[in-house]
Order: sequence, then C-alpha cells, then structure tokens
Amino acid sequence: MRSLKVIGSFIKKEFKQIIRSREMLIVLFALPAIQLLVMGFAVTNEVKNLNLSFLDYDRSAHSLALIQNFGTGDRFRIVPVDTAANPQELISAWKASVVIVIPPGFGEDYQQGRQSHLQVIVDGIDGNTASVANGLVAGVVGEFHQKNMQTVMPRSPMPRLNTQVELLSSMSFNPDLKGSLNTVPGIIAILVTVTSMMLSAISLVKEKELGTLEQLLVTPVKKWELMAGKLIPYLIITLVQLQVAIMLARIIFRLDIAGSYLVLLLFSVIYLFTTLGLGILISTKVESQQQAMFFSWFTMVIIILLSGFFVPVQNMPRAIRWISFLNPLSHYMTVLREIVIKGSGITQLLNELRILGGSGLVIFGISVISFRKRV
Amino acid sequence: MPNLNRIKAISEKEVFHILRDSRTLAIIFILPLLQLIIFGYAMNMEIRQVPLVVDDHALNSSSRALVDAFIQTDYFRLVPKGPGVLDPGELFKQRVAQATLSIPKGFNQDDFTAQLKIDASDPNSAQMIQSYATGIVNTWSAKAGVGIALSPLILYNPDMKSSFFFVPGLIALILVMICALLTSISISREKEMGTMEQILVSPVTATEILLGKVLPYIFLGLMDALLILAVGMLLFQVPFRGEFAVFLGFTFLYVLTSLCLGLLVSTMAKTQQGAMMTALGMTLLPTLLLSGYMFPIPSMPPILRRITYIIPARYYLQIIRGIMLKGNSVQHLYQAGLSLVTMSVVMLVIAARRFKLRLS
Repeated sequence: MRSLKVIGSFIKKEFKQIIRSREMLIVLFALPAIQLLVMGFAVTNEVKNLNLSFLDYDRSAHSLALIQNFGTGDRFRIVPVDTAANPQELISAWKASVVIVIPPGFGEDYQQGRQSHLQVIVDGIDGNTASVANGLVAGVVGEFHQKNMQTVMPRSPMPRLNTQVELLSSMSFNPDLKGSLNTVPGIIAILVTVTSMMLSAISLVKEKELGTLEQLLVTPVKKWELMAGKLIPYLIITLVQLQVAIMLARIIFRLDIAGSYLVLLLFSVIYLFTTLGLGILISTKVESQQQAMFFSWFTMVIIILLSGFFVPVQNMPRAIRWISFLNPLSHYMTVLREIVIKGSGITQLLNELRILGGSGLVIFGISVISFRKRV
Repeated sequence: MPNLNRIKAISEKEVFHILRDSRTLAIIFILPLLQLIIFGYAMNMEIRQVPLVVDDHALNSSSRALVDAFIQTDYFRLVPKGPGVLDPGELFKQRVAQATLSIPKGFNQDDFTAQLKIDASDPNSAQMIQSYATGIVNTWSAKAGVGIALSPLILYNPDMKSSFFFVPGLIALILVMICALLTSISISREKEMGTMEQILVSPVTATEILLGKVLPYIFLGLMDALLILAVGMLLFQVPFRGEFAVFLGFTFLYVLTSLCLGLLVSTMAKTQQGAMMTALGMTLLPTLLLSGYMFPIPSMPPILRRITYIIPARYYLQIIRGIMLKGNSVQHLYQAGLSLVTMSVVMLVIAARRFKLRLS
C-alpha cells in the first residue's frame, strides 16, 4: 500500500514537471506531426520522375509507341534531346539518368517478329536507383511487348511459339501501391522508440546533475519505487504519443488499422520494456545530459538503420540479417506493419511475441541490476 | 587586423574542450565509420530470392518451363506449396511467400495466361517483383527469337554498389555535422555559461573569437572527411575519378557555407539544449532527409522538392558525387558552386544582423 502511494506521488510529480515545461508538450504533439509529414513524404525508396532521354534513330510507329509507353505514369520524366547528343555526355552533365538508344530498324525488326534490340544506358552513381531503373525499363518494355504481341506476332513468318505468355499481376493488401502504407507504421515505430529511450535516458542524469538524486536517496523511498515512479509516467507518455501518431496518420494519410487495436497496444507495451530498459541503462552509464543525448542518439541511429525501415531486412547480406534479428525495433516494426496493413493477429505474430518478450525481460533485467549498482 | 596569437590562444582552448570530452569525440569518428559499413554492405534496395509459391494446375511441359524460367534467375526462390487450396492472403500474412504464381489448367492449349499475385505491403518491393516477372517473361520470348532484347549499360558503377553512393554522401553529412552542429553548440555554450561576455570585455575582437573557435572544428571536420574518403577507397574501392584540387576547392566552399549555417543557428538559441535542438532541426535532419543523401529528390512531392533548394548539402552532394564518380570538372559544377556562395552570403548577412541586435 505504502509503495503504491510513493509511486503515485512520483507519477504526479513527473506529470507536473512535464506539463510545466512546454518542451515536453511539443515533443508529445508537434514531433509526431512533423515526423509524419516530413518523413512520410520524403522517405521513399520509390524511384519516380527519373530523367529519361531517348535517342530515337528509328522514328517508326513502334519506336514512338514505345516512347509513349514510358511517358505514362510518374516513373519517368522524358527529357527531349537532340539525337546527335552523346548518351554518356548527357549522363555526365546531369541532364539524364537513363538514356535509351533505339537503333535504326528497330520497328521493322519488331514488326517482322525478329529479335529487336534496345540499348539502355543508366547513371550508376546511385546503385539502388540504377538497379530499380533497370528493372523498371525492363518492365515497361515487357509490358509494351505484352500489349503488342497479339497484333504483331500473327504476321510473323514463324509459327506461333508457346512462349508468348501473358502475365496478369495483382497486388494484395495495397492495390494502389501507396507508399505511405509501408512507411507510416515504420515512422510510428521509430517515434515510440525515440521518445521512450530519450525520456528514460535523460531522466536519472538530470536528477544527478541537479543534485536531487542524492536528496531522493536519503528519503525512505526504495530503489524499485524510484524506478517504477520514473518509468510508469514515461510508459504512459509514449502510449499517448502513439495514440496521437495513429490519429494523425488517419487524418494526414487516411491510414486505418486493418487489425486489432488491442493487439497493437499489447505489443507496444511489451516492446517498451526493451526501450525503457535501454534508456535506463544509458542513464546509469553517463555523466551528463549531453552525453546521454549523444549516446541514445548513437544507439538509435544504428538500430533504426538496421530495422528494415529504409531497406527490407531480407535484402541485406546474411551476417547483417543476423544482427537485425537481434534488433528489437526491427521486430516491432514488422509487428506494426503486419497489424496495420494486413490485419494479422497474434497467431501470425507468435514468433515476434516471443522475441520481443524475451528481449524485454533480458534488457529490462540488466537495466534493473545496473540501476541498483549505480544508485 | 586580427591578431594571430589571440586566435591561437582561443583555438587551443577549444581544442582542450574537444579533447576532454573523449566520448563525444569517439562518437564523431566511430559513428560515420559504422554508418559507412552499414550503408556499404546492408543498404541494398535490390531484391533477390523472392520467396515464390507456385500453384501449377496445368502440369505440362510449357508450365514447367515457365516455372523454371522464374526459378533459374536469382530473383525468385521456390517455396513448396502446402496441401489444400492456395490462399495468397494467408501465405502473405504468415510471411512464407512474397508472391504467388498460379497457372490455370488450360495453359498451353490456346490460353497462355498466368496469374501473379504480389504482397504489396511494401509497394516498392512489389513493383520491383512485378518488373522482374515481366522481364523474365519477356526475356523468355526474346530467347525464342521474338521480343525485344535489352542490353543495359550501367555507367560509373557497373556493379551498382551502394557504397559508391554513400561514401561521398557521408562526407557531406559529416562536414555539416561538425562545422554547423558542433560549432553552434560550442558558441551557445559560452553564451549560456556567461563566458562569452567575459571574452568580449577582454581585448579580443569578435572576429578573432569566431576564427579561433571555428578553426579547430574545420580541422576536425576535414580530418574526419579524409578518414571516410580513405576508408571508402580502401575498403569499398570507391573510385576518385576527378581532380583532387577541384574537390578541395569545392569542399572548402562547402565548409564555409556550413560554418555560416552554424553561426546562424547559434544566434537563434539561448541555451545549449536549445542550440542542439535547433541545430538538429536545421542541419542534421534536413541533410539526412532532404538533400538526396539517401532518398532521391525527384521522388519527393513538389513542396519538399522546393525546400531542397535551400539545403547546402544538396549542391555539395552533386559536386562531390560528380567529382568522385563521374570525373566532372568545374564546367559541370559551377552552378552548384554559385548556389553555395549565394547561400553563404545570405546566411552570413542575417547572422551578422542578429548578432548585433543581441549585443546591443
């Protein structure tokens, strides 16, 4: 009973402090809004509006139709150039990222059912964009071929081969291919991580720096009461912020959670044990607030980069995939994405539940030990 | 006329500040190296080995040939189909497959239609998977003598390594981080502690203080940049195709722009914490997100694209990537250089005005 009272008064004190300092309110409401707005729109692996130039030496109906195929959609932006231009020079001078050379006779060959050739020159300085661009060009050319083979092939002298496959593809869960559906849950996962870790990392150091920690220690408050009194408010704040972020995502991106909200909340609470634990751990190891900031920032940069937020984890080399497997944010992000996009339930997320639960136990345990030693 | 001895004294003091905080110093050097390694090895957009479940109802030679064409590439990996009816939605939820290919019974008679279903929760991957599949089908036709053969040529980076992109980018990021972020924090620290006033009443002039404070950070930033360059070239074989002198000239210009930015930030914040937050918001985050360091600018919505024009790193990234990877010379890059000059002048004027206002 007495402990509850002590913890209760701690919680009251923390909340008073937070409400008094305007910064905290900004962290709570403005930060999610800005992060969602900027990152939601800027963070995209999509390759759009690529500057594409054609050197069309053929000028046939087919070559024009092919160029028109590239003009639809927002993938390519066609930059008109003189056919006398040198493709390498166009790329070197930053005028185009992709140049497609259509040789003379292209339309003729294609019409006759002979193999026709295209030369594609891609600016490789951004390896990722280059490989995506390469795939996109192959895709558009493939589409062009799929569209035209019915009209072209019958005239060809060759017998109709059983190689003219028509591929109908459909996109599950996200038919409009909205990028925000994938990034927004990721941003929310990062937000939860950053807030909970920063708050708990600074908490103890601040009391230490101000000298109030010593005062607290001479009172009859027990260590675990002190820790609980600090962490429960942070848990509540982070959950409130999660709520705000979900609301904003609904308003800005019209994003609805396909799955159960309760499952999402359950996973979030489990995950917060890990991040709050990490924050406390940092807090016990550093001397000043500035160092606490630097250290938590450092940790966050690494776990965010390896979380699968920017690049899917399965694209990474095996060794780094193993490191990512130990990264709790990576699992929490998967959980959020699966629940929000696909509406998965606990049965499909059992693996993640085990991993996040385990990491919560281990990291929180270590932080408790470190806290008891340090304080 | 600034006095060299005084500048040296202030610089020495600043060097002690930097050296004493060894943990921050370690982070300044270790973080970029770690990022370099992560980016060099892990940031790979290209998808390989997409788990594919095939539901083949035709089971004839054509359908098998089609499936083989998918599996023989490095792009797809066959996942055995469990018993029962294929439910792509459930497979995607359990994350055993990212795409399913179903071939109808009538395949090979007169209908050559196959169904490809893709898990589009990551739309970028989904689109690439679709491109791969269309490409495979097209190549299959091309091999038979019909269709269009593509001969791609990737310039400057034939293996499409991401490290080629990130090594120059990291140099831009580090320079802004040290020259703008750390400088602004160090100036506002003096202000917060009240030592700025003490220095101002001494015979040292404002120019001398600024020069003295800034020089060690310029040195630190350039050291860090050269370290990244060396590691990038040795570990990842990133080429340096342009001229080193051009690189140094433009880098010096960029350092100046970053310093002006740092000065501007320092006139805006009263406390260290405030300076840190403002500096993060004005230097680090825009450089990370909006400069083209990681995310291609053309893919951004128009409003954000317009904001990128006032971010110095945007121009420097074009310059440094142009010099290192494309071997660009001054004639390709003078426009970007002029933008940097203009920005420095504007920021310096604003900073000087605000500085005077605060002192009076």
